[in-house]
Amino acid sequence: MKVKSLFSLLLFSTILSGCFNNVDPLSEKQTRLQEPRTESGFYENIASEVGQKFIENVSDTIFFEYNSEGLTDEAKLIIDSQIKFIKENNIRKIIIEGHADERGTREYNLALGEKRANSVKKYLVAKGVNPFFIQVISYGKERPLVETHTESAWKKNRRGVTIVM
Amino acid sequence: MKKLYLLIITLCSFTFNISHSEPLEISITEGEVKKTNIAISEFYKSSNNDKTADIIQKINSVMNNDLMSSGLFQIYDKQSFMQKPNEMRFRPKFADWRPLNVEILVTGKVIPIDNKFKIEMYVWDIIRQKQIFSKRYMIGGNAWRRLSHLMSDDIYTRVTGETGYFDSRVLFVSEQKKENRKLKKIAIMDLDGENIKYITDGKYIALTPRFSPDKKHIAYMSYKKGIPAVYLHNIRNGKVKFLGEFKNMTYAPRFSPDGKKLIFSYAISGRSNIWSMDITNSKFKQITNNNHIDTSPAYSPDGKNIVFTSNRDGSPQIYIMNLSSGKVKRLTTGDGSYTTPVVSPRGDLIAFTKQSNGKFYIGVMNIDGTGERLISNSFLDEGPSFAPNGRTLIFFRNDIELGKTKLMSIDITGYNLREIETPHGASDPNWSGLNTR
Repeated sequence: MKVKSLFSLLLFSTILSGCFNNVDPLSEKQTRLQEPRTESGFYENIASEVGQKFIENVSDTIFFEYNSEGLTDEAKLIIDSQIKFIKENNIRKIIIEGHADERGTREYNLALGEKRANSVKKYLVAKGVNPFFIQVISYGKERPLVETHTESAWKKNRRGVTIVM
Repeated sequence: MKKLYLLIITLCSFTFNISHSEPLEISITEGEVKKTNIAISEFYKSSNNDKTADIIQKINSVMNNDLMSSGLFQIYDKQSFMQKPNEMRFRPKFADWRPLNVEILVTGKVIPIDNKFKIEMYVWDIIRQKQIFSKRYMIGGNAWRRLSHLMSDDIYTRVTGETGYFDSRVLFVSEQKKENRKLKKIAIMDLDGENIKYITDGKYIALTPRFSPDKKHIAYMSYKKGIPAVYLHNIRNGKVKFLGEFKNMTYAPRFSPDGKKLIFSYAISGRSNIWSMDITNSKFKQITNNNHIDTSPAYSPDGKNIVFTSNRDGSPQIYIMNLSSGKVKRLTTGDGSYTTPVVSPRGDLIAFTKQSNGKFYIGVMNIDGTGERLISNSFLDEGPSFAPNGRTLIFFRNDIELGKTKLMSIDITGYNLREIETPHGASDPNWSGLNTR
């Protein structure tokens, strides 16, 4: 009897540790997402060869008009090239960051960044990218690409950045 | 108690010109105040020990700083004082103070008892030659700072007839520059910038901290789990609660006046709507429902209405919603955009951020949207929060010449604009209610 219960305890703890093992990769992935990226976006494509290749081959950033989430023709051309890459390389994880310039309040710009990232997402989905592969994230005005306070800086900061993994 | 020293506040240049043919001209209202002349003597020490002398000096310095920062008092330098603390331990000689035009004199005693201090404060009316009030306090050795604020509050309340606010705290986002980036941490401090404590560690961006009415909890938004989300943080034990399992961004949290609910924005597929959560049972409720941006919600003090920002009519404007009827009314109609509305503790005013012609303004208007007055402006002024007595606002300013965001305070009349100094950049201030005494 005793041996049996010891065995079941062992079995139980194995299952339990199995559960925790299942949790771990997830949280690891989440921590990995936090790594800073000094370029236009914030996430770093650590250990992602394909992410590196993506940045080398296509433009990862599009720009928006003031207080607008509409995609310009120029932006659409860039996203088309991103889509081509995504399909050719069978990409299954895409993060889209939405950013705003400093000419708005913090909370409103978080909303605007989210709207912008979703504009890109909707365009990707319309062109056949699986929506479940896409995660959007807004940085509002918190992560400007250019830290100066001029019209040309604001233009560069109103952006959407695509990251593939 | 009669309000012997009624402060006379005059509003000058109270104009807000809108002309349809010419470019918009906006003028800033600047209040003016007749200050009360006050002399705060160092308290008399009943025994000669260093610790007592030290505490006396500290108390004096905090009280002088508190009352001066309100902009309502003219503080006298002790070099000009005619009498020493020991000469006034029973009663000052009024005739000695009259020539200095001192209106109010503060004296006191500090008596060490074991590890504690008994402190007596006397407030004198020099013109009428009598005591206005006296008060006794008993404190432990480390409580001198808080006691100083309480004594300043007592003086402020008796002289102005309004509730003092020096014994209050401010939540804000500390913005520390580190290798081309800014660490954005939630921090808390006393109103005078002392006692700073960091609540988050800066590993993840954390923004928009708000006090619960009892000040035991704060709500803020953090990027901790990748997707920005609202968190509830217990200040006393440091426990953090994730607001709920939302797949998308939750942001812009604020507590209801009874502290039982949180109101916030939830963004789904480019639509931001306002939701509320009952903190006691974690039940959610959607409050607005449209395809635009609805954000920066804040309750009125009676909990019956919310004000918020929406771009449903094009540009961002301020709206008010009655929570029981669901009726929504637009409040702002002026040129430019209007964001971050907050209702004053008395429920009569709304403070907001306005953006027009490339500038940002802090303004106040009546609860029905009339009587707009702009009280500050700069390249970027944002996010006002009311003092517990509703008289003063705190907000943040991006000083592009210094390359730093900083906290500013200003009276709702436009008077007494001043910086509240912080060790690093600071934004998103939220002013606590008063401490329970």
